[in-house]
Amino acid sequence: MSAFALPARRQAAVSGLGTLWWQVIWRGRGAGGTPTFHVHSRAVFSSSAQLQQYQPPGSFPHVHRSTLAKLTPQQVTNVLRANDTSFVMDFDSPVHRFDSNQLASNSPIEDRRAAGRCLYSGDMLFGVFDGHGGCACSQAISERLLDYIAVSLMDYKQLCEYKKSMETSAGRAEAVRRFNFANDYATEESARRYTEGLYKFAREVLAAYDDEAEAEDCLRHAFERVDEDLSSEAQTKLPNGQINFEALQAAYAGSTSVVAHVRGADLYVANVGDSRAVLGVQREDGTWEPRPLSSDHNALNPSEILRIRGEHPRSESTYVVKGGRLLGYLQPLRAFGDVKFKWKKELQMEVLNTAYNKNLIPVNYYTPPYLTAMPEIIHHRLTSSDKFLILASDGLWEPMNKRQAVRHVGEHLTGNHRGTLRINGMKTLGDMNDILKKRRANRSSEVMDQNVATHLIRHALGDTDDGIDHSKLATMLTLPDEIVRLYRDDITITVIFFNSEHIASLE
Amino acid sequence: MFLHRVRPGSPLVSRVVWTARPRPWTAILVQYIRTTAGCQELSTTQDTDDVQKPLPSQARVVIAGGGVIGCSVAYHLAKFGWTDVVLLEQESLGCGTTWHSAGLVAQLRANAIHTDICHYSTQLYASLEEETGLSTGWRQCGSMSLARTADRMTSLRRIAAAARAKGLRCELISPKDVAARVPLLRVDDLKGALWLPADGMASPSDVMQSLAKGATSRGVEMHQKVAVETVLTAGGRVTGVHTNRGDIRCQYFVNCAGQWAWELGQRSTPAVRVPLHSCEHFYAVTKPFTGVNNKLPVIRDPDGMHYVREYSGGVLTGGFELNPKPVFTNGIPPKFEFQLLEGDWDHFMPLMVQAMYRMPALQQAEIKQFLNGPESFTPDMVPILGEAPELPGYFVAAGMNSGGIASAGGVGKVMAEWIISGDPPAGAWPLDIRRFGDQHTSRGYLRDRVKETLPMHYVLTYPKQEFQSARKVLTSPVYPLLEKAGAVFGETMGYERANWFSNPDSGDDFMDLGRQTKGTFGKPSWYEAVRREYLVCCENVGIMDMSSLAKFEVQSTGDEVVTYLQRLCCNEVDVPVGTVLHSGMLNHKGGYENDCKIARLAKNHYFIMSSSKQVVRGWQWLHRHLPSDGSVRIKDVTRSYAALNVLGPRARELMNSLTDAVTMNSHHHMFPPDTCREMSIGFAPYVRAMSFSHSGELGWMLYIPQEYALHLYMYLWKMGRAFGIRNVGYYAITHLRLEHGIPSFGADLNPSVTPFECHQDQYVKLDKTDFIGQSALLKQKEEGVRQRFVMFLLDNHDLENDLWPWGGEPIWESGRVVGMTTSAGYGYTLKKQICLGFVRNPDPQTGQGQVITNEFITKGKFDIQIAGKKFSATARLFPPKL
Repeated sequence: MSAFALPARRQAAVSGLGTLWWQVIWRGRGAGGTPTFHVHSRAVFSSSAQLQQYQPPGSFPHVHRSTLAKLTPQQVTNVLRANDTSFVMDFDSPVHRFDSNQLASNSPIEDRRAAGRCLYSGDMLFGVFDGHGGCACSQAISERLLDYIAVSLMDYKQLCEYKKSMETSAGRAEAVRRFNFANDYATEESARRYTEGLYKFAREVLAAYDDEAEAEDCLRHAFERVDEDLSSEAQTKLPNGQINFEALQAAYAGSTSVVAHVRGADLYVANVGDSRAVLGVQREDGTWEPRPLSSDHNALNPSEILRIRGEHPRSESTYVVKGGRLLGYLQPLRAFGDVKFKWKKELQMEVLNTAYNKNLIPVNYYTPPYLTAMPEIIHHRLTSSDKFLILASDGLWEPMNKRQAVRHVGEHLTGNHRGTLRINGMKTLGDMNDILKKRRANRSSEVMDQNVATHLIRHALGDTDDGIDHSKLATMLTLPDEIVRLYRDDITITVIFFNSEHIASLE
Repeated sequence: MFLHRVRPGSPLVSRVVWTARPRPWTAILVQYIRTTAGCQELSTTQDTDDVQKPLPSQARVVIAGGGVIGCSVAYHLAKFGWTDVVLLEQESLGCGTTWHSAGLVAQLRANAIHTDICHYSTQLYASLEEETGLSTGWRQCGSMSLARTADRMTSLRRIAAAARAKGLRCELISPKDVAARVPLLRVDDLKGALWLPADGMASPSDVMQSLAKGATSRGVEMHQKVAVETVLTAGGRVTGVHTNRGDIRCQYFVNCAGQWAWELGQRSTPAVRVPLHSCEHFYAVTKPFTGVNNKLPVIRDPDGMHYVREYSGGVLTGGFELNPKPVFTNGIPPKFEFQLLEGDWDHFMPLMVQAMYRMPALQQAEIKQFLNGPESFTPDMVPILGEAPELPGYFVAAGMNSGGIASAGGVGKVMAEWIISGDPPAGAWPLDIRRFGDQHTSRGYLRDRVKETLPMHYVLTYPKQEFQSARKVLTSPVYPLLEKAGAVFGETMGYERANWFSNPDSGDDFMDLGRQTKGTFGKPSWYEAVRREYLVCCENVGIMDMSSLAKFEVQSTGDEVVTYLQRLCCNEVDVPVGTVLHSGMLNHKGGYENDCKIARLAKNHYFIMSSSKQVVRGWQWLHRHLPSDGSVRIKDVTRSYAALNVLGPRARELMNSLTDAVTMNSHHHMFPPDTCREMSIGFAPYVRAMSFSHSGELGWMLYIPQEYALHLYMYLWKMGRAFGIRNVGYYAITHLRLEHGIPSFGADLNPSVTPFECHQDQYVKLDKTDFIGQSALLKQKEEGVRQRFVMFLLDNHDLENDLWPWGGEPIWESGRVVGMTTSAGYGYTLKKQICLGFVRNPDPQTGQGQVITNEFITKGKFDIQIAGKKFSATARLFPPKL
């Protein structure tokens, strides 16, 4: 059972009733209604699940008016912090620590995240994956992509060592030591298939080892290979001749992906889709400057539209991106999975239509593939003024822009000091006053959360002109499942803090 | 924490050299190096000496802390003839806070002795160069305190009246005069200003070095890089110090460790409480700009929370912000010498904006430097001086509240006198360390409280203003009921005491009224409420919680306790068991050390009650005079007993109704005044009932073990309803006592007042056995008194529109000031403002006090000057019959 409060403004907008009542919707959710994702337990925490503990007993499957059911500040904080995690590196590394958090809108949440350290090279990898059409694809990507990247980036010697480990270790040879988030889980049924795919990839990389390959190429290779494996595994039938639904679901659903790879002072960001990577750079005067390290692959990006149109006959140019979506269906213009935009019609007829017993082929589907998982890669050489990198799914970027996000993190990082102001030669008291006024105007409210990702979510959902508004925040967290997706998407944030001293030593 | 290191010398670093030598304990440390001629001279001689010179094995006095205060104490001890003095500095001289002080020397302070101290400092700094050859950088440029509001102007008028009475030159000037003196200032919003020509500024490091040289040239030894680790004690006295370079035996130890004083205080057994806490203090220095020269007076704009002084052609501007930042709650980092904290421009901004508003030319002034130097602050914004009550021989001089340079000269003198004579100098009570108790020691308390005290430099303080922070430290068992009844509490020694009740009947309507009301110099918001309480005490019966009073028990097996108390008290204490007597405890000059009620509970068992402020000091006085054989035991039972006072004409009826008729009437016929009896009231046994009140009304004091207090209070209320019982607060009691002309300890009585000077002759038995102060009193009896406690009734005071007297107003007689009022309030029965105060009659030629005759009082034409306005007053030697 769960209940949700709906403030007057929202309710009026949704139901058209101009009343100033709070509306609480009680919904029965029997034991039989438990979503299947709980099978893997270590459940993905959704806000509505969290809220169940605040309900008075009794369940009424009808609309009930009440002034209750608003969250207290502590309850809001509990909801916001349910999935937050922070890791501090206890080894010498260009990354000092990272904070991460997730807030679900979909039930179950479709976003995934992953972080790990390459066992052979010591490189750090961070990924945020925004799934759509369910969480099967983002889940698969989050389990597989980092390993593929690690393998792809290995040099010859490391590959040989890894091969040896593959052959000797009974279980899965680790390429990446992962940092586990509280709500992580692994799909055990697929583990074998994933390992086989990875081993095969490693052998091929070793066989065709290219000394000259740039990191960008390796990353690209890994991305494409994961997508290919998703696709090919979906076509492979089980030994008993039946369709492998697990694999098919992962390929049929889709996911964006933004991955940051840190090797010394070299930062590579590989992006597929509309999640974002933004670097926080501290200027001389202590203020913060956002530097985007990814471009969005969606219809708001003219170069993406041009790319897609260029890949298909001129006759299709009116359909390929229609209503801001690929073929009128899909928002991100690059993605993993989503084989219904990649496979040829015949293949779809054979596999998908058989499996799901209906025609899933999009309209105007003439010259596939329409979709690719080819990442756009940006390389950045870190300096000591680069303080942190924000990786976040579009759930964050809808309510908050890059500048705000970087400012919030920057101020969180520096606490009250907001950076040191230096008196450089010619500054007068009047100049200083102007600078301070500007800074004051940009100042955000007090820091409540230690975890900066939580801090960002709190601001993203609760910010008003006068700082964080508790009732707005409480409302955003108690929207009913039916409409929550209209107001906010799944939010996943990982903020990576760089060790300036380590980086300065590399400069 | 980012720390910057600057060395050595003044805050005003002219040349900065960066070196890349990080300190081991923090990698982010930045080091500056600077040399000044003065510092070099001192440090070279001192440093080279240090290396070879071993520590002496003993000294008469060891001073810990080589800042300006420590150097001044050393200088004055040597000057007064005590040259066997060793000063120990843990790093190098002046490296703590002295070097980054702004160097302002202001003379007007919150209390008379502190003003005297700073006045002496100005004279010392002006003349020290002649003696030592080292300049102090003293410049008498005058100072100006600006008023933006009418209330501020009133406050300045009150200050000016008091200052003139002390003989300080000062002048209230118009905004036009302000502009004429300092054309840089914006004056269109000003109401006026107070001009003090004798104020000035000094160079902190130079003052310190000059004092240090004056001390060393007289034989004082100064050792740097010697840290006091523990203070050694034996037999409850200081016997020496243990340092990182060996032990020194000594008779006296002086803790002049500044913001380290709290920590150092903890390093002795028993620990000595030095309640102070560091706060960040910010100021900026500009490069020279036109319009500024070395004639620029120090400008204080308290309504804008900032000050401005000239500094080498530019100005130095800092302030005392409303939201100060306490630091070092958990200790000061090691090696914090010549170090600063990170500058916080955002924090400084409000002060800077005000400074630029007041002096628009500052906007174009280039910034030379911005400093954040931590300084120590005390719970009441007054320095902490004197001998620690915990440990004889252990002296403290610390907690200068950003006024170290201004105070240093005088503090050194006062401390030297104190150490040499063993007794506090006259009027030193406001600074006395014994005003603090255990409740003032915790770091959390201090951290909270200094946030409120730092802004007090500039926030307008109204009469009877209470601290708002760090409250409810000590509460009586009936506190919740009083609070519910609408009590508006004040604080005394950390104890919550109801001052008045916003609604004595019931209901919560007025609960918050008055708590938030703005202060006033005129008719206060509580006037009506206190009048109602006053009338209750005159017509029916009032009940007041007096649990904050200091209570001690003294006992012995034989009659040693009688001998002991006979020696301490000026009144006869060998009275029948069950008697309550009133007596002063006097010092050798016949002045009050304590004024108390003493109940003889048994033959060898006395119960001593005195004012709340006397918890530490009263105990220390008793403790100090204990016979060394241990035959008399004293016990501080302040926390064990709650005290309820029932007073008013129907108090006897109430008392009769409470207790068994047998105890009340038949046994002793009646419960006569000034007697004491242990009885059961309600369910509460062991109630010590004493028939007296503190205000001259009929009343009983009931002392009860804490746990029974709530019950007793409720029982008294239940039984008292029939007699119209009401809660009354401290203000009502004060007003009752004022009309009866009863002097109160703390406000009126102090160690320089004898009983004969305040009509307490009835409590002095000169013919009894020897007691302390007897000879002084005998002498005074013969010669006559030179000051006299007088009650003044103001003749033509308009209650509604005139400013009220609050104590501290000058008393004028034929064109000269003859004294200051000590207590004041409205006489609800006499329908007149009442002032109590001491009157002297200085000889016009010599300035010596003459004997005060009754004629001088009764025939004299007196005026009381309230914030500049004089009111004629009728002087009365004895209170009128009510």
